[in-house]
Order: sequence, then C-alpha cells, then structure tokens
Amino acid sequence: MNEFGYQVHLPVLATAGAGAGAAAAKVSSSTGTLTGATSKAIGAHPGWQSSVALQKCLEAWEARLRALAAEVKHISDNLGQTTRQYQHAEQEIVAQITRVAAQLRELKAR
Amino acid sequence: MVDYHELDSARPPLWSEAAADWDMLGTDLGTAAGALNEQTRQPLSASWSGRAATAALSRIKAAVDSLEAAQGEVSAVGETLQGLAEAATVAQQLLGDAQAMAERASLTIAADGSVTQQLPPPFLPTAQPATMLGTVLSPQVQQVEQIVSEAIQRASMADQLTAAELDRLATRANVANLQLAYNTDAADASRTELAAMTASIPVGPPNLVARWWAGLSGAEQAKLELAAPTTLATLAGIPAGVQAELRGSDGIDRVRVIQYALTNWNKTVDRRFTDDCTNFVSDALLAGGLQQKQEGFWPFDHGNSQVNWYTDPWSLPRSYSWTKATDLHTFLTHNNSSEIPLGQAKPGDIIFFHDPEQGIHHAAVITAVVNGHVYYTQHSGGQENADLSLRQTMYNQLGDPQDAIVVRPVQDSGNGV
Repeated sequence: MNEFGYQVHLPVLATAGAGAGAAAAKVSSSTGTLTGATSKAIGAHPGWQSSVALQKCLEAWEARLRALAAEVKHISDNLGQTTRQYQHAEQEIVAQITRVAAQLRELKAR
Repeated sequence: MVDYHELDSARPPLWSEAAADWDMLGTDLGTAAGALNEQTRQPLSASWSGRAATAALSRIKAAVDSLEAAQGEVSAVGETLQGLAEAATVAQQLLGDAQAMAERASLTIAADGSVTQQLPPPFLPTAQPATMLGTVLSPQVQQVEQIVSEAIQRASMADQLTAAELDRLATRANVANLQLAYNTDAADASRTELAAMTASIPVGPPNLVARWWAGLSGAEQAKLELAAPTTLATLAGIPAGVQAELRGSDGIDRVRVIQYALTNWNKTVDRRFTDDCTNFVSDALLAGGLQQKQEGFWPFDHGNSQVNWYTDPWSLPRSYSWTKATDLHTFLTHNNSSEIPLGQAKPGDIIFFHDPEQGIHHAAVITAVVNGHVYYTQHSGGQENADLSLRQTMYNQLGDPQDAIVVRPVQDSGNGV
C-alpha cells in the first residue's frame, strides 16, 4: 500500500470510537469521586503539613485527569467523526458511480 | 511541626479512607487504560491502516501510556497517605499513654501540651503549672511531658516525610512513562510509607518504650513487627522475647538479613556487576549467618546448585547459586529451606520472580509486610521497601505477568565451607 492508500473496516472503527468514549467516561467519573474522602481528611487536619501537600496533589491530579479524560473523549469524538466521513465518502463515491452508470446507460440508449 | 492539639484531635482513619480512594482511582485508571487498549487500540491496529490510522493510533497509544502511568502515580499517593495514617495511629497511641498517666497522677495536659497539676483547695486556689510544685511531683510531670514531646516529635517526623512525598507527587502529574511512574515514583512512595511508619515508633528511654509497647494490642504489636522489624529488634525497651522472635529460630538471623538489604540497597557491594540481584541476596543471607557450602573443587563443582553455595567476594570463584536467581532457589530448596505461600511471607524471607519465558530470573529480600502488602528490597534497579503489588501491576501492564515465589531461609546442618 502506498502513502495514499488505506484500509478500514467501518464497524470496527465505530465500535472502537464508542470504546474510547466509555473509557473517557470512566476516567471522568472516577476523578469526580476523588474529592470526597480526601477533602474530608484535609479539612480534619488543618495544622498538618501533609494536608497542604495533599491539597496540592489533589488539585494537580484533578486537573491532569480531567485533561486526560478530555483527550480520550476527543479521540472518541474524532473516531466517530472519521467513521462518518468515511461513510460519507463511500456514499459519495457510490452516488457518483451510480450517476456515471446512469449517464452511460443514457448514452447507450441514444 | 504538629502540636499537641493537632495530634490529639487527628483522625487517622480519614487518611486511610483517602488512601483507599486514591487506590481505587488507580484501579479505575488501570481499567480505563486496559479498555482503551483492548477495545480501541488493538482492534484498530488490526483493521485500519493509512496515514489517518497512523496518526490516530499514535495518539491512542499515548493516551493508554498516560493512563497507565497515572495509575502508578495515584497509587503512590495512596501508599503515602496510608503510611501517614499508620504513623499517626502509633503516635496517638503514645499520646494516649501520656494522657492515661496524667489522669492517674491528677495532671492536666493543656491544649498547647503543657502539663499542670490540679490540687483541691485549700492547698492551691487554682491549677498551677506543675513545675511550680517542687520536686515531689517532678518525676511524673517530667515523664508525661517526655511522652507528649516524643509523640509530637514522632508525628511531626511522619508528617514531614509524608508532606515532602506528596509535594513531589503533585509535580509528577505529567509523567507518561509507565516504568518511571512505578520504578521511581511509586517505589519512592512506598519507601516513604515505611519510613513514616518507622519514624512514628518512639525511641525515648527504655521505660517509655516498654510502657508504650505493653499498651499496644497484640494485633498492633504484630503489625509493627512486620512493618519495622529492624527498628524493634534493636530498640531498648522492646521485650527480649519479641526481639528474639524477630531474629528467628531457624539458625539465620533474619534481622541481619534485612539490615544488610536496607543498608546496601543503594550501594555497590562486593561485586561490581550492574546486574547482581542474586549476589545481593546471597550477601544478605551470608550476613544473616547462612553457612556457605562447597562439595568438590571450583571450577568443577560451581554448577551443582543442589549442593553448592559459596563465594570469594574479591575473586572469581563462586557457585552459580551465588549469583543466579534460579540456582539460588535450587540451592535453598534443596538445603532445608522451603517455599511458603505469599500470604505467609514475613520480613527476612527471600522472594523470587518467575515468568513463563525466563523462569526464575530475579531475587530480592522481603523487608516488610504491611496490611498484607509485601515490601521487598533489591539490587539491579536498587529499591528499598518497594511494594510488590505495584511491581506486579506494572509487569501486568507491560504484558509480562510475574509470579512471586517466597522461600523461607533455614540453616542447613550440612557441611559448611
């Protein structure tokens, strides 16, 4: 296959995109549950250096995991969009071939 | 510095709960990484090609790598918090001793940790600083003050260690390399977890230590014996029977085995090999008193690992069993030592790693066990008190699952060298 060629199996692409979406949702929902016990522990120990450091950890990791979840969601969205574009391109090609075939039939009939 | 009120009002179970949440988050990230790999990356790799596919697959792989690394990093946060929870519990127990003693002697510990004497009128109209009451009460006052001070100091040390580690982990959120996340960051966190626990053990006068130890429940004592054997084995005030038990009755001083490992994990020892995990374990066993054995003459006998285990630290002659993990396993299991289930592992045991391709290919010393987690210390990628469960997770993610085989070393009565 040269650099312009490609192979694709659209049902697999669609399923893979949905799988990425599920992974993104998992990361997102898990990150959301982090604040509960951690914030409670921080709040209960105001004079401990560890509370200050844990708060920093919490903020850093929430931001990181939100970004990771967004990245995986973006991958999922892109795979979905790519699937649709392949489908659209295929439909366009089929339509064009059908049109050309019809024109040929018309010419032949003359 | 933690003060009296902060230690007294601390609620260590909250740190445990937070630790459990971070652990759970780590598991979830691993699940998400696995799902993204198996349900997205692998099917697409097999069925999609071309420039768009190359770009997409590269991005998906980067996301999988980031999630797997994040699993290691957030698990490290959990490990660190668990160490603080354990350490604060120990320090609070010590503080409880001071409070009980104060109550018996009608002393009051104020919120700032100062000790006052409550005496009914007409002797004194109000509570007076205990130090004003003369020499009669001073030994009790001093004792209570000493215990309070020790507890605060212990808690503060654990707090500082934990805070430093958490500060570090807060800066590691962008690590996307699995081995860096586990071999560096998670390993450092588990080392800190154990260091915080050890820091919480009082090191004051023997009578203080003895009273603290006697006040612990059997379960609490057993937990500390598994977590900090070398500290307890050498700490004045810990009962001699406990210390003897830590050293073991199998003819090998288990504490010396552990001490050797903990002292030398980050040093080049008697051989200058970069890859010398088993040589390190052999040296630790030698330090514990395991007798060398040699039947025959080098170099004709060195491959017979069922009967030979010997070295000369500064020259070549040595048996295969001294430096090859599988041969050391063979030697031990043919010379009175035996495999035990992982769940029964205790500090001073030897751990071997096995995979289907290489067989037994690595060895380390078990140096602590906490809440069922086994911690090992090794050469060849030096690690001190690294959590076995994190290592297993990393190798699972690398697609190279490793079995852990634990051998309890026992002295053999055969011929020594």
